[in-house]
Amino acid sequence: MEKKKRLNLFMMLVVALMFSIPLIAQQIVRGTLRNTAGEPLAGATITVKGSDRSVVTDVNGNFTIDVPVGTVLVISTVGFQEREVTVTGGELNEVMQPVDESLSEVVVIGYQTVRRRDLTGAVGIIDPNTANRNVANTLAESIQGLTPGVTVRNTGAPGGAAKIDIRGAGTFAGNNPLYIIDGMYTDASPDFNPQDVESIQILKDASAAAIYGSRAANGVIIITTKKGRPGPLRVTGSIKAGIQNVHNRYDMMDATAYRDLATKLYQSGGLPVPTSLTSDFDPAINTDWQDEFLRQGAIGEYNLAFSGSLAKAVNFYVSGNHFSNKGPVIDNSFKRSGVRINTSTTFSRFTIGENLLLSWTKEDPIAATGVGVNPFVDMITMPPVVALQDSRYQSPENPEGWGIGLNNAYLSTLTANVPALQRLDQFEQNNFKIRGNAFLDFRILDGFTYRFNFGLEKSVDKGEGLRRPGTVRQGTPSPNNNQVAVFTSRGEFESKLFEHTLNFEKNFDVHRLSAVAGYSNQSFDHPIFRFTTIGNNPTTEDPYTNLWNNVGLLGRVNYSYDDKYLASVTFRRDGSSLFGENNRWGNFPSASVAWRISKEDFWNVNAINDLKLRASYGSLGNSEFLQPWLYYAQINPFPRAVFGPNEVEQIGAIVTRLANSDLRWEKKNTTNIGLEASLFNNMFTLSADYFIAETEDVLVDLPINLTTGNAGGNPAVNAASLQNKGFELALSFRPKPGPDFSWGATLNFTTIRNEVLAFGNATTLHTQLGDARTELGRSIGEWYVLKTDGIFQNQAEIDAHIGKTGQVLQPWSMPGDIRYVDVDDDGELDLDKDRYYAGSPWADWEAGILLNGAYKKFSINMQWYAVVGNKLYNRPRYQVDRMDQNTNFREGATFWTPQNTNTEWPRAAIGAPDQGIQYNVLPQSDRWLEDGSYLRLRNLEIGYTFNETMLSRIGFNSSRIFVSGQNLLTFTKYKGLDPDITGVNIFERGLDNGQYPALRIISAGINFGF
Amino acid sequence: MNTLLKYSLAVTLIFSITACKKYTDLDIQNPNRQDESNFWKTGTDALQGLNALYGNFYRNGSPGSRWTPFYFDIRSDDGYSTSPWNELRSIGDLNITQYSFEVNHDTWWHHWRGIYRANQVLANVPDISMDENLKAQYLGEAKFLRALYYYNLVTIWGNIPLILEPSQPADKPSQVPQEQVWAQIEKDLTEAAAVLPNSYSGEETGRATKGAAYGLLGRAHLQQLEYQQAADALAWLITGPGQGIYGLMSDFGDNFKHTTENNMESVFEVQFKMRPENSGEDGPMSNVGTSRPPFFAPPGHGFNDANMRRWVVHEFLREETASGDRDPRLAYTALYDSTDERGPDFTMVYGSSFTSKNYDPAIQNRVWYRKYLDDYFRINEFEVFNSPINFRIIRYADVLLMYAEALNGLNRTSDAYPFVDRVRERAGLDPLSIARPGLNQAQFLQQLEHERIMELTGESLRWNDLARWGYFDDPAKLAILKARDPEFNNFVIGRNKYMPIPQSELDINPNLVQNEGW
Repeated sequence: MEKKKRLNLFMMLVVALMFSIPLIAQQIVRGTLRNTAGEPLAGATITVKGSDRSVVTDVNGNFTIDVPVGTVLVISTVGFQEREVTVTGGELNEVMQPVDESLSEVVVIGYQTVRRRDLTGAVGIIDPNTANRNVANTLAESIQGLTPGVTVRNTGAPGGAAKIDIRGAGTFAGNNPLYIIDGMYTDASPDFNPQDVESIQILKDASAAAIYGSRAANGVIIITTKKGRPGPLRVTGSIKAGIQNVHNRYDMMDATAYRDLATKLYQSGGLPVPTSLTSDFDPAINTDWQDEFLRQGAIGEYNLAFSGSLAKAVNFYVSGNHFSNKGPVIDNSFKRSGVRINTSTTFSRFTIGENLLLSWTKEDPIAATGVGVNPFVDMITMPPVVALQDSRYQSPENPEGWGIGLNNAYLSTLTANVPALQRLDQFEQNNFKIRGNAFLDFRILDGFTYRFNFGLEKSVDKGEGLRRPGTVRQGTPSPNNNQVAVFTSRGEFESKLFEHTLNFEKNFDVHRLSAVAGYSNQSFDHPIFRFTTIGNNPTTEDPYTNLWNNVGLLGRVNYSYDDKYLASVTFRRDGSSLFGENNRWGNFPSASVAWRISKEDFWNVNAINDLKLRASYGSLGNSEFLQPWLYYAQINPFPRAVFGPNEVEQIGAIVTRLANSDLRWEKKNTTNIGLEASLFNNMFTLSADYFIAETEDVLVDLPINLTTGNAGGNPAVNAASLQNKGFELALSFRPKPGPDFSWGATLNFTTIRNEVLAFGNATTLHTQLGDARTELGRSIGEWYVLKTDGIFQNQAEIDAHIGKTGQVLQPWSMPGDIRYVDVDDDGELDLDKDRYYAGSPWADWEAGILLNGAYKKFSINMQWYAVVGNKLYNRPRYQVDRMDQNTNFREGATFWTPQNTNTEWPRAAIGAPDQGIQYNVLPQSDRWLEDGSYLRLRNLEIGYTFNETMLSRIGFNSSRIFVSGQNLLTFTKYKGLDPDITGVNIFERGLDNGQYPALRIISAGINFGF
Repeated sequence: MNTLLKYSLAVTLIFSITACKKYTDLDIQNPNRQDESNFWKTGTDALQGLNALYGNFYRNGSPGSRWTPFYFDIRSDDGYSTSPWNELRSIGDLNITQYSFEVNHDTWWHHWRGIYRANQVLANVPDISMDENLKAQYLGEAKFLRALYYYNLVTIWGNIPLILEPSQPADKPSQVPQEQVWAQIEKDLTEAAAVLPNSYSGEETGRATKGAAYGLLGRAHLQQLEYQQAADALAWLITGPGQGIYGLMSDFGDNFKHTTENNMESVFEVQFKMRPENSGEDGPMSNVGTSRPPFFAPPGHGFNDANMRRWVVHEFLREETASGDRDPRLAYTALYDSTDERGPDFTMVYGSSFTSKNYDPAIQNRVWYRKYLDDYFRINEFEVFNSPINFRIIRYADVLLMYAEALNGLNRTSDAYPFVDRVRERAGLDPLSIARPGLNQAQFLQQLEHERIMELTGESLRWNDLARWGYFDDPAKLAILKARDPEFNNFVIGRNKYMPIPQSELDINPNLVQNEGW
């Protein structure tokens, strides 16, 4: 409302000015703009309020303008708070405050904005400039380590989405936060240009997010894109280019070393040594499969933006961008092009505007389909004596002769030739998306504004693939009956948002009151079609359309007394078509209070210039896990029965997947206590939060008994209760800048514990997926494995390894075998019972550190990120250290023999192994767990700002060049490619299953403006 | 300008309020699928439900497909596995340690899926108003199929729940005494036999018949050593109305080819068909063939996960035909260096001579199960995962031998002779009355054991034969198995007769108890 009021004044002023121009004497005003470090600010805009007259500061921050005394000048420049200054004389020297240093900065909290200092909930605010130092496919990836309570796990896959957890895992599945982009409800996707972002706010606790009710339990990320401002045309741009690589490689054996070790392994298994290692050994074949699969990738990022005001009335921001990501794997890339058009205009009581993004993406993913294919594992397991391609391998099923295992006589390996698969299997995903909103504001009365907001997201996805004939793995037939297969998929996603809100804002005396009430409705329509043509037989596969709707009523009241006592109450009632008739509606209330102690009369600690305590409680909902119509069982129309001499396929139809009819909202109740403080005139700021979040009725598809006969996925169920407790701390330090040198640092720290409080079914005490078990009273997905205890060095040690009944625990073992602990001490070694909790995939704590420094025209920025205390399962190492016939071996690998006892490697042999050897490579043991802690230099950027006088001669008014390194240094004991893994799912979060590792990117670029 | 804006505002509001019913509806009809509220209403629904029950045969773990042979053949004394897949091999090794691994998990699962579908048909079809004859037939077919699944479940795992109603997600059933399962199998089959037709014509061929129900009922009784009931049931096919329907094919090999399916020897077959498929389950274009052959085919044509013990070959060579030739069934039963009795130069392995395969010494001595291999048409090619060969669950030769066993069990040994002879004579052997006259009851059973090996090896019957004959309970008989198959050194009496229930089932159902010894 305040804005409207100002607008009114300003309209009056315009009118007044128009009439008064001839009467009032002009005054030449000269001035200089500087930042808080005393440096001149070039390129800042000084606009005469209410007109389109404006000037721009020169390279020394100087400007001159001809206006009457009393004129209000609006000073604006990117990264600094906008200021209004009234002309009082001929000189005007101003120091501009950077945006993020201001406590009176306005933050968007959903349907309303509040001053940052008035926040009563937990909100994380991220500086987009810092985020944008990272080359990122998605916004989530760029904010890793920048704010406490937000955990980001990356994949290096071009176009791949990072996983983001806000305040831990509040649910078993569907943990993605809600994204609100310019008021449109949406999700993370790589179509978004991070350079268009003006602000990023993360709503973390219940009171902050409650206005988004049923969709806010996983936190809300509010993104506002850049808007046009009154003033002359501004053009900004940037170019960034660089190279990227998988920064780490497994150190695998070459052909000779492989031959030597494999020969011994075959011999010790009593098997004939394959001829590829003996008579047919060809020293010319020494394939480095990592070299064949990986390559040097490259990134390029180009941005150009125009902003300003048209015909005095229409503010606009138009940008174009192109991002190309050539992956560090052969035949793997991602490209994005986008155009953004944001405009707004005001007529009398109306303001209308729109924010629109058109985006095109093209992704060529890694080919990973096929029996037994896992590219980042296969690239290390394929033996080096297999040639990439050779006539030896040619057969009707392998017409191009790609190297694979042939047979026991020559060489048998079930590893897939993934460089070949990259070539044989071509797939490209093209996506066109329109996303944006249009709004109309109507100032009904002073203090009352109505807004209609229409949001639209429409995308057309098209996938096209072609699989040439040819097998890439021994014993696996060439797919599609050895014929060329063409795949096409088409999806059309459409989401429409209709919202009506009424805002109220009134300040009287020391009371500040604001409120919003409204109605929100979003509908979704998502048809998908797939076509396959094998040889000459086209088929259409099951077209399917998902439809679902949400309806919500929302309201919030904020009250502040003298900036000292603040309170906020929020309520949202949501209905969703994802639930059955009796469970559609849910209520999501919250309340919060804050007390600014430093405003109290008794406060006399001068060093602490601001101190605020916050507390909140509220309830949020989640149904993200659900898809439409899961609350009843559907008839599967696809079973077929063949009968008769002509093998007619008769149609079958039946329920194959069970359903729970009483699905209801998952609810998360969060209590948050926070403290904010500023010390020594804002040199130090501190923000700390402690929270307890309990999620009830967690929606998930827990395994149900196979005796039910269920198929096609476990039914969704409200299965469990979870608790997350955490502590978050953000500290920043900004010492007073010197004349040439300035620096600053911020630190954030997060520790979160999750615990399973209950499973919905009283008889369920745990659920296990792979080797991770989720048990009542413990964290989700802790490692539950056999306990190893070194290697038996002699028969005496085997005989001495007895259980409580005096029985030898491992009678089958031989010297050199791994000793397993009888964990349950029942006198028997049992692979299911003798397991223990060997570690958690959850970090004890994580922290991010940002360091910024500037010396004259040089700047340096560093982001460090640390994750401490988690355990990862290194599946690729399991695959190679099993030492079977399928795999190559790690450089330096050996195995225990009576002559080679001083080794950590147990006895091994290829082929018909005895039980002792089988037990040495059991997957379910702690042998494959590793410490996942790491400290990483996430980003280092060094920049230089050009001398402005030089630039002005070529028409530029600002320019900066920089070089940047991403993931340059990583300190870790983890032996896999990269410790930053997304995991397989929440229950196996710590499983490195050969994932696409985060990449090292070295780039250079230039920012410019004119 | 103001007026224009006001109008556009009004229009916008009206649009957003009136046009949005579609967008605000919380009770959206599913345009893609029917559900239980509008299904099970017509005869067509009943038929489609029943067809979906037959459609469960196309899962890897269902009767007669990829995995059950590992339980009934490879696990027995005539088979062993050389699979590099340790867990798969451990089934044959009788030392399984991973109870929840894919094969044990899926075989258990896919059988219960069949039960669930049968239960849906049996619960919903009775209330449909439709042709009463067809309704009775459909219910009979569903009962036959439910009994077939329970027969496998109770013989593989022994101690199982008995589920007769459509499942709910939270069901945590308890096990029941085995007799209760057997009683249900007998009840279902008796009821099915009463209503099923003797045969089908045209494109309905392959559905369960009266003969199939009596055949399986006889098998179930025989397995429990209930000889009289077994003989009574089987008699329908041999001396009753079925004798005009069934007979033996003159060429033994016709029982294992896709070109001679649903012949007079066939009592019940799983109907497989070869066509392009994807790897999905119960989706569009899902497999309706069987993926058994690649797991059984020799190196170069399959994974060679399964091998036959060579003693079976020697067993064949013990008796020549009446004309002094080798028993012709050997060549159909075993693929090895001398499948053609002239030796490896003449023995064809998928169209090329055994010699030309140049197998290394470890492989040269292997014997592969040949029944249900596609080697007669996949010439020089890899095996297929969508093989067309119908799996014969019950074949008339087996019915004859079972009938003979039942009569012998009733101490009517001499009455049993003619039925064994029919099987022997088809193979060209002398009738037993000439070859082995005057056998007493025990000797005759001994002879039947031999006859069943000759006739039925590789047809997923061996394990239950051994169980029925007491090999798994008597250390002296177990010693015979150990001599034939060293894997039986891992056999523990009281443990290995049944497989362990997948651990993942016990983890989430405290009402289930693991089988003894596991």
